[in-house]
Amino acid sequence: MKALRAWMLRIASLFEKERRDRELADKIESNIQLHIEDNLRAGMTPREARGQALLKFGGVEPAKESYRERRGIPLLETLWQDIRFALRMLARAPGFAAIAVLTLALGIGANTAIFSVVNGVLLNPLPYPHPNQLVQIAELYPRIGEISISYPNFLDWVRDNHTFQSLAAYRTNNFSLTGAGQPERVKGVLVSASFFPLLGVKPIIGRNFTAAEDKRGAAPTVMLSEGLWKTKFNSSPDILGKTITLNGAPYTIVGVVPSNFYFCCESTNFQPGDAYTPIGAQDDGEFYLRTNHWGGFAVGRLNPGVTLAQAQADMESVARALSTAYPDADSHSGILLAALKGRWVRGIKPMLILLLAAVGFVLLIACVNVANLLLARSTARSREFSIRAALGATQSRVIRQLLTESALLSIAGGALGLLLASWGTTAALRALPQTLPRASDVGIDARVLLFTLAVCILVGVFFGLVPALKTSTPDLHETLKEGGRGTSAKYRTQRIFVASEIALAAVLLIGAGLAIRSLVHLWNVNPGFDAHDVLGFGVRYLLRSQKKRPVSFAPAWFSSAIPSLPCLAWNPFLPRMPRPRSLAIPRFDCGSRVSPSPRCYRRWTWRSCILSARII
Amino acid sequence: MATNKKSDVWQGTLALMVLKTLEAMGPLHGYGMARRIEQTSGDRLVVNYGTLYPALLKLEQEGYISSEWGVSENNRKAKYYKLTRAGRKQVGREAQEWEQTISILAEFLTPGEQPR
Repeated sequence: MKALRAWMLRIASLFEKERRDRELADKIESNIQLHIEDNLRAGMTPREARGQALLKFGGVEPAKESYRERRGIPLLETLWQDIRFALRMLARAPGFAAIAVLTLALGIGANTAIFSVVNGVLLNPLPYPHPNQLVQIAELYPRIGEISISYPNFLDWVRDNHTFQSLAAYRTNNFSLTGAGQPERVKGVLVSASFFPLLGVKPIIGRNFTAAEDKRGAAPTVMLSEGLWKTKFNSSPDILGKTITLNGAPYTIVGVVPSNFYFCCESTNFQPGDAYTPIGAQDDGEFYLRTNHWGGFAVGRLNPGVTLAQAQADMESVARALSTAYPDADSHSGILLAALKGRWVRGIKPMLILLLAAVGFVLLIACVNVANLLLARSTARSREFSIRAALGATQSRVIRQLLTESALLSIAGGALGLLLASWGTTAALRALPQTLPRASDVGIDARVLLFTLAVCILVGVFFGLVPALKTSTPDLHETLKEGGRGTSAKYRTQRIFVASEIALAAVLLIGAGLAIRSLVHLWNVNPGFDAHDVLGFGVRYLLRSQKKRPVSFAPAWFSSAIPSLPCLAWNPFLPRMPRPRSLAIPRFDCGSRVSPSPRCYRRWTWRSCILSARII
Repeated sequence: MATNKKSDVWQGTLALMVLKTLEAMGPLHGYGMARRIEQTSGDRLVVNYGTLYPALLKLEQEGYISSEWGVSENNRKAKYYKLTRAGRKQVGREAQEWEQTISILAEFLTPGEQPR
């Protein structure tokens, strides 16, 4: 309490210095006068009295100085002095200052940009309540690894587990929306009724699905995205209870999912949809086959206090029970749990860390560059420092002055870098919206600002310290005599700087070269057929009847509608590009459903050559 | 040799001397305080103003003393210091601490009486 009061007063005394100094001088003067009067009374001559009093008082200036040190905060006052001096020095060398600030802005800006991505994607918690309880669930299959889950198995997990508050399955399932203006293909997702409650998502209007709606044979219901609700239904609140036509069947609208709902993405096989329907209401016999792993996954929320390992053990015992109960379907399969966040960022994490390292090197190069500039400049300033040293400045005082200058440079660079970064990340994210999970979570928040500030200070000390140490110990005699000619030691430091700069640049160059080489390799992956000039596109039909009949008119229609099309191959399955990791061979399953231009199709298949194959 | 040499006030003791002096004498100006402390020490101590002024300032910042301009007995303007209420309490506390320190030190300085 006392200390706090004292500090407040010390801070207050940073202002109105002149008045306070005058008062101190008055105090001292009155003190000396009182002493003189005493001396006179003791019988001294006026001259003697004054002399004795001054002698007794001692040095007036040192007394004032020690008083001032107690009065204010000396560290802060000298810092302020240093800052003003540094600003004057930099203003006198605008070219140098501009180059240094720009160099640092690039380095710090790149680091801030990448760190803001790392922060948003890797560090920030997921945008759900208690995100650490969330787990992604897949099935495991020998020799293949992770596979999607089977719905009957999922229902048994829900029944038999002891570690989850809630489990939800989902699967992408697009729809054709008709009867509401222009027919449209909308992204859809089949979800368990528990899916949105599990993630803590509340509908803007309406409600989530009920358990009864998530049962086979239930009347079809749908939840729309806020986006679709806006564009198709004008955000009308009386949409609830109305029906829309999806894939030719009527679905009753029960709720609208807010547009800030986000669930990632490629690594979890999820895409935010415009229409969500209950997964259990599927009326498809195949869907209920235990052997059918239909491309869906599950997400679960652990009971409070349950660890991932405990849940994994629990689910493994569930899996064992299932493999005994259903030896045909489940004898080999297991269950794999992964923390949801780790799963989201699994693919992107190494790349982000690599990028962070790369921009770290860029920053190092920038630092060394600026350090070199400072060193070159200090040669020109060595006379100034010699004079200061001759006047009694200590080495630590001079170093502090120089570090203030470099910190000022780095903070200016950091501020500019922050601008560059905030502008750069927004631009970059707009350019690649799909590739990065949690892109919307990327931004400049308090942690990013703290990171930038820390980088600024570290960088300031880092590039300022060596030149400061070099300049603050000038050979007084030599420098003053020669008018500031550099010494050989200084050149040696510069040589070391240049060498390390080249080394750092080489590391970056080699790294970038390797990355580009990998990219070229990726581009040159052989897809198993000649992909040159081949375009792929899909067409969906609305089948009015449940009976699936071959649609043979389409290729002919396309051929006549687009006369420039040289050749149209028709295949119910378009081969996918093999993923480099799984090395799956695309399936050319044409069978009897050959296109109307067999010549063309042959040409296409002719060019593919299967080296070896196995069942996938 | 050292006995008749005047010594500077030891670090940390000046604050107590100031407080004690103000307690005994009532409001005093800086010069008077210095003289009083020197007298009380039987002129064995020398008060350095470079130490006294910051010490007064520190006590003032901590709220143990307050100061105001006044007029001396022979009509000279001077800054007068006096104890505040917190200061009065602090005198007792600090005096007690010092007495304790002194008694502990005394044990060491008379080794014959040390229990083994």
